Amino acid sequence: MNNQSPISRDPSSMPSPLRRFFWGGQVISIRRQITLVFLALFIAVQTGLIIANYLSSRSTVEDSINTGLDQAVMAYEKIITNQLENLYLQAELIAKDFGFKQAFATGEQATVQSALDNVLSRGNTDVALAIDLDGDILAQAGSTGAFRFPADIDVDVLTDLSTRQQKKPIFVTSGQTTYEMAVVPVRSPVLMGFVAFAKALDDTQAKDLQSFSAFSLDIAFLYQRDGWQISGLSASRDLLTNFMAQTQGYDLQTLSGTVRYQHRPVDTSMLTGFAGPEEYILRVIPLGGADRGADISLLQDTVDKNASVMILFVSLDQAMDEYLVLFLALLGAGLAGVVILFFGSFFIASRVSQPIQAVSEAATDIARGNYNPMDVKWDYREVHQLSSSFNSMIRAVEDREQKIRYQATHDSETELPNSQFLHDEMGELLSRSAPFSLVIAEIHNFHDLRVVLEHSQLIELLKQAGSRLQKIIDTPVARLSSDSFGFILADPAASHDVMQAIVDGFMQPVVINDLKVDLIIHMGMAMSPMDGKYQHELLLNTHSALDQARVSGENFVHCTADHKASHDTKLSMMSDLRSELAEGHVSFAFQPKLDLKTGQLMGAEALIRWHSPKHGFVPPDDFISMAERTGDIKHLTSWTLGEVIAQAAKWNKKQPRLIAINLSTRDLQNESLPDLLRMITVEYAVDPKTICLEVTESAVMGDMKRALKILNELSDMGFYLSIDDYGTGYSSLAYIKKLPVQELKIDKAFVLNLANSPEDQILVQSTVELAHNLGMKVTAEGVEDEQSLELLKSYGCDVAQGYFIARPLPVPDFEAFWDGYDAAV
Amino acid sequence: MRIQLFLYLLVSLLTANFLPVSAGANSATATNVAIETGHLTVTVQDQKGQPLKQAVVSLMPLSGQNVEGYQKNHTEMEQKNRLFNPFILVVQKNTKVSFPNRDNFRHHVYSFSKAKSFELRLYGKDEQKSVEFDQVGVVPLGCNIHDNMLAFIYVTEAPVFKKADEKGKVSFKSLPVGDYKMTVWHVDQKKKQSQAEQTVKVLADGSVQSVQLSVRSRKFIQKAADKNRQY
Repeated sequence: MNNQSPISRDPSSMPSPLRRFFWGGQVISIRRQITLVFLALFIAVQTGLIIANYLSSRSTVEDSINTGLDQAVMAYEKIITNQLENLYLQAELIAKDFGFKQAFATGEQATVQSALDNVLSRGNTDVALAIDLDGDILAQAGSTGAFRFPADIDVDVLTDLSTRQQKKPIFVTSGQTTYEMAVVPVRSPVLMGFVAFAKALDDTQAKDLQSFSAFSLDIAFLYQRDGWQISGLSASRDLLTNFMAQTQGYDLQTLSGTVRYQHRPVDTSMLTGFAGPEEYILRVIPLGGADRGADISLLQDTVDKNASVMILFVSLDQAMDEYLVLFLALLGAGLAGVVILFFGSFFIASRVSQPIQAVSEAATDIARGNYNPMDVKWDYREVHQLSSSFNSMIRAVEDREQKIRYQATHDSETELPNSQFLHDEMGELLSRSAPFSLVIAEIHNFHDLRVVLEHSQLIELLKQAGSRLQKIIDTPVARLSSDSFGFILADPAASHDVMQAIVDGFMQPVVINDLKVDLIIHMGMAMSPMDGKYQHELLLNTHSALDQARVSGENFVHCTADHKASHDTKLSMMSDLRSELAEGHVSFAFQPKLDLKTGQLMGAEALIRWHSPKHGFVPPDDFISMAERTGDIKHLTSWTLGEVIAQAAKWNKKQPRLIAINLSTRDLQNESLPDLLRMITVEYAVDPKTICLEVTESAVMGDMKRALKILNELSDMGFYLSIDDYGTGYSSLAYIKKLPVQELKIDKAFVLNLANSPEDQILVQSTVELAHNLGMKVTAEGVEDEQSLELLKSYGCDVAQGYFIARPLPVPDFEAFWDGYDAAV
Repeated sequence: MRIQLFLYLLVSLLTANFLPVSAGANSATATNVAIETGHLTVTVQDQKGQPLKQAVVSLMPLSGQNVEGYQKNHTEMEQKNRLFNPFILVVQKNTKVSFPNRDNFRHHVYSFSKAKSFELRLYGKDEQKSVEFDQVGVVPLGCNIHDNMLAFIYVTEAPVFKKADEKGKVSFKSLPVGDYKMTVWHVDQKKKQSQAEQTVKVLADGSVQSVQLSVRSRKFIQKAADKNRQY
């Protein structure tokens, strides 16, 4: 507090609206700008007006002072002359009085003295003298002490002066006073002497003369003796302090016209000191001296050399005081104008800025998603136009947004909501922390159906599936991918019942153009909040549950803690895979294949094995699918191909064996795969015929065109191609026929229970027959007993693979087994 | 003024001293019937050599010459047309001068001179006023009513006197020969004059004298009445 200046500009100390007005934000507002500009303009104009007014009135005042002074100079010259006239009259009156003349002539001093006293008592004269022809003073009346007539005056001069035809003033200085004097001869009848009447030009006279003036001025009488001296002054001597100091050595008598004088008061009070020097305009009336002609020049030698001047002073500032009221009025009007203008322009500016602000608020509303039309309540045409076009913009934006939102949240093919819709809904529920279940349902046999149905039929199928789902669960169902739907169940407790109802509901086939299609539905489910509090978490868990369902073949799987944990570890597993691959923790096991025709081993399937120090044994299904998702599969494949083909090259040197390698779905999308294989086979000098590449049905179905291109290329290169897991993909043989493959590999699901399952026996037998008819060989995997092996033999199956023959073996064991088997045979 | 007084005293002394002598001379002349006479011509000039008209030359016999009856006295100072006439009047002491008013308005003649202080209060045409001048001196005359009016009466002891003419010349004819004290006076003369008084010899075959007086630049004049505002 102590450090703070008392005029701190802390904005927080100001009242809030003013603070907002003066401080505003970083961007200046229109309202403030208009107000400030108006105010600035007004103040500038007003200030200019006042200054102009001041200057013009000052010059008017100066003019009027000058005019007044001109008149005053004339008037005072007249007054001085009249005064002289009066002096002469009085002097003449007495000089011609017979009695006076007699007394004068007869030297009756007492009589003369009394006569002079008598005249003086009438006033208007300060000194009266009777002078004889010798220049001696016979009698003197008034100012006896003060006035001393110059001694040794030449009578001739006096005679000359007194006998002039024109009466002119004589100015003499006695002591510190200048006198205006009239000298008149006394004749009886010849010249006997003189009567001199004089008037003192002293303070009293100055004040008297001042009182005649119509306007305020000051009068000074100055005489020259060692510079200029004051004889009389109507004001305090202080007025002339500066003037006297400045004019010493000046010939004041020659100063004509307007003269300015800056008076700085001696007792400078704070106010006058602040106001600066007072400016005076003055005029000089020369009274005596060389310029006044012969009268004085006669006197100069004998009477007095002093020149005298009368000076008229007018204070410009004082004269300006009359205009003070005007200026105060102007200033008051100006201030009032500022206030009025401030509020007026504030009002106008507000009227202008209000619509802008309203538009801005409306725009902010739009940004928030509220498409409320603006109130069109302003009477300005421009603003009216603005707000109505703004409103039409709002409507257009609203329409477009609805359309976009619909498109964004709906699937164009089926008109069902899409994944965005599901995400939104989920987000909404999550934000409310409402419990719910997320379910993803997948049409398991959709790929198979795609092969047999036309596109429009597929769409119709999806539509019907969607609407059937919707009917059962009574909430919107979103299409997530080509064959999956997602929906939310608001009551997690009832989810299992609902899902059961769905399973029941899909027992009935869907009818499309009189075609009855059975749909196999798998569903995964996760619940919030127990299975996840975030969308991605829930989706991941739901998908994981769906994967589980797909793999296990269950209708629906609720996400469990295990799944969650495996999901959590899956990502870290991939990075571990990369590092452990380099460390040699990934190896291959080879499962021998038995040629059923010859009874000899003919090759083996290479199966990847990952014995992680960290995770233990990781099943290939887990990390392969994971690697497919993360993109690690590319690296894993090229590594696998290199490793296995290198191994095959070693064995091929002894005896050609057909070594099978599994290609993943992703591998078949990789167009650089043929080049990679070519490089590897060239490097190890391996005949592609000895390498069997196994691809799954689904891998081919994904992007058939590309897969076919790659397969054709590989086939051209001479690779032995095989369809893996045949039977699980619902693909038709007619379709397989188009593929450049040499072999069908019947999935173990049909083989494991072959001995006990008549259906499987029929399926396998007919598959073998069909494959043979199409020119393909057949391999059966999952052969676990002799009975099955015998059955396969009887069906004419070409190759068998399974635990009954041998489980997948590490390279040393495999070699030992192979050698032993050969020996046994 | 002091000089005037001195002159006066001087004249008085001379008069006192020489009167008995003159009386004796007169009687002597009377006894000697044949009297020798001569002319005296005096020219009066100012300091610049200009003739001084109206200069008064008066002669006082120093050697007992009988001049009785020589001077014809003019004793009138009239006031006419608001002017005194004559401007200079010379009278011998103890002469009675009359002041006839020939204007049809009143005058108030006065003088405050040492020689004669008097006052003739407002008098009209029909009134006869006269004043006897019993002292030697210059008597300026004024009128209290009319400022312009100015005249001088020159009162002298001398029995012979005359005013100079336009050429500043004074001629005395048939004047008994002998020494005379000659006094020259002019109304405008300065006070100190070396040549104002001197002894002159009148010879039978005539004498010529020249006198120079210094005068003031400012002259005494009697101005016309209509300009009475002027001094």
